[in-house]
Amino acid sequence: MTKTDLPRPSASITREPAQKTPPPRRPVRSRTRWIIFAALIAAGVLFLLPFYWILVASLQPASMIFKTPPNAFPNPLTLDNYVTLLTSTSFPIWFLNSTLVALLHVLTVLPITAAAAYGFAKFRFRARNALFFYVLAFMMVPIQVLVVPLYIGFLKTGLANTYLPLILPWAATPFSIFLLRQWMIKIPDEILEAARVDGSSEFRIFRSIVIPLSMPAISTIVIIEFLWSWNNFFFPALVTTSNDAFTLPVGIASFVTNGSAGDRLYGPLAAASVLTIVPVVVVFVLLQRHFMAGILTAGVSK
Amino acid sequence: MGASELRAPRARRRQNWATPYLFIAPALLVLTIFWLGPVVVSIILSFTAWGGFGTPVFVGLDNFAKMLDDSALVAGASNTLWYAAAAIAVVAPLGLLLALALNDPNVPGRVTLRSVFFVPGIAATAAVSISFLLLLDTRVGLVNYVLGRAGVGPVPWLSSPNWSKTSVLVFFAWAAVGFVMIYFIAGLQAVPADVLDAARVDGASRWATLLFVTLPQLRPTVAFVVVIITINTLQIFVEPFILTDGGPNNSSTSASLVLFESGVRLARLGYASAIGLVIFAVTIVVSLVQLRLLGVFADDQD
Repeated sequence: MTKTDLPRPSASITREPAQKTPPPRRPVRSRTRWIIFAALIAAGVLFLLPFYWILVASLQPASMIFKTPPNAFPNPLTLDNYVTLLTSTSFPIWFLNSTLVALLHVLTVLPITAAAAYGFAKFRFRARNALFFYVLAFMMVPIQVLVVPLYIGFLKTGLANTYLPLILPWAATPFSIFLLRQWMIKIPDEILEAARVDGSSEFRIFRSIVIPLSMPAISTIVIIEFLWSWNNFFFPALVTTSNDAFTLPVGIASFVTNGSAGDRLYGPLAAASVLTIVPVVVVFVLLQRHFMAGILTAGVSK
Repeated sequence: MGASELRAPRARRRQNWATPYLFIAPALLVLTIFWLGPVVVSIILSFTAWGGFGTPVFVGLDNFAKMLDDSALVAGASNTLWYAAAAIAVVAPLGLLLALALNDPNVPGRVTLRSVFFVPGIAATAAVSISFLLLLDTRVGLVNYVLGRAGVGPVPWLSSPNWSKTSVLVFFAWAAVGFVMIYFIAGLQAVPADVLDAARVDGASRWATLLFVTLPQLRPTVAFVVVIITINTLQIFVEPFILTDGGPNNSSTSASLVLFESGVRLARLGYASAIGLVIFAVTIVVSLVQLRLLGVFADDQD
């Protein structure tokens, strides 16, 4: 860099620069930066501690879980708890239930909400605003208002311990309809019109144009709905009375609330928790960016 | 030109009028049967006393009158309000801090760190609660062990009325902070860059920029976060249920937990419905008040 590259001070005093250049970004003092970073790491470790702890507990013989002082790096690692869990409890049934219910839920919710979202997004019809408001209004209804009548209904029709109570009422969720509609609105009308002019049926347009174009929003919904179903507790706990009908969270809770603190088989219980959490966390780690993007989209669109 | 062209648009219009209704019909059907129906039934049931057998007995406003005498519900209600206020006070600032720290491009590994704080929110509450049960155990829990090493006496986190609410709140906050952080990150990224540049050009310090430029821009996000936290805590159920089962002497019970017990353990279905309606009403009122106070008017862009 030679002197001639820099504007001479005397010249700049008399001449206003055409555009005021912002002063260079003041870097945060590196000491502060490192303190913040260290704090973040420490907080991160704290946040992950419960996961680590339950993992460790599941790999210890039950008697060691209650050793004082608690052991952070247990030496005799054992898979006994998992074996017990898988062979002498109803865990495998619960796992199957959770998996099937979550899959069925996603498979039902997706077409229904996508179709509704498309209807609200790309068509003009008389009752559109009123009906959309109707759908959205349900977002304010807390599940507590729905559970008692739903519980009674499914009980009286003898369907309480089937998958139906966990699938049917949730086949349309206002949130998903809202999210998909916000996305679909942005699809250019010209594409749809062109297809119509070409003679495509509305359903074909939906299936072959709208759905593929909505994949980002759809994958967000799939993630959210799958998670919701897998983790769902309140209503399944209420409506399922038979052990074989429990989903994972309900089954785990039944371990805890049946019997006093001393009776609890903490070893298999910890193993059950790990097996319930791990699939979700693994999927999350693999699809991190998708998750974040999805929640961001959900948040921003509000 | 000619009759055929004139006929074609009309034919399209005739074929189109039913299409949007067909798309939205399944969702509307599900919502009406499984959401509107239960809301109506809930309202009706709340004026009855019913044990699940025979016919419900009309009791007028009896259920609502009984609420004030129900010590469990009074405790549950006040606890729930405490949870809501405490959650807002703890989770919102923490989430904002994390968002500010993890939105800074200078922080290494910030995407991973974001995931670290977010993961607790996607694990099944019932499953992770086991970990907290172990960590907070008075005798053998890691938390008391560490405190003991620092000379602080063992704290009865889950077995004392003085600490049960705090423990439940910590559990809730641990899972909620990640979501709030993500919402704030989205909000921060939506702050227009030229506004920030203008502040920098004017020589604003980092603190001043944060307080007088960024935060005002974040107002919609703050409103959203506060309302979301409120709605979620007003319905809080799983955390107190598994961690403390309502805590010693209802010290940590929540309105939803009381509803659950009334419905399931005590078979007072009319009363449970009434509780559900009260939760609903309170949620709506509080949310509207918050939105009003935070300067946001409910809107629906079209």
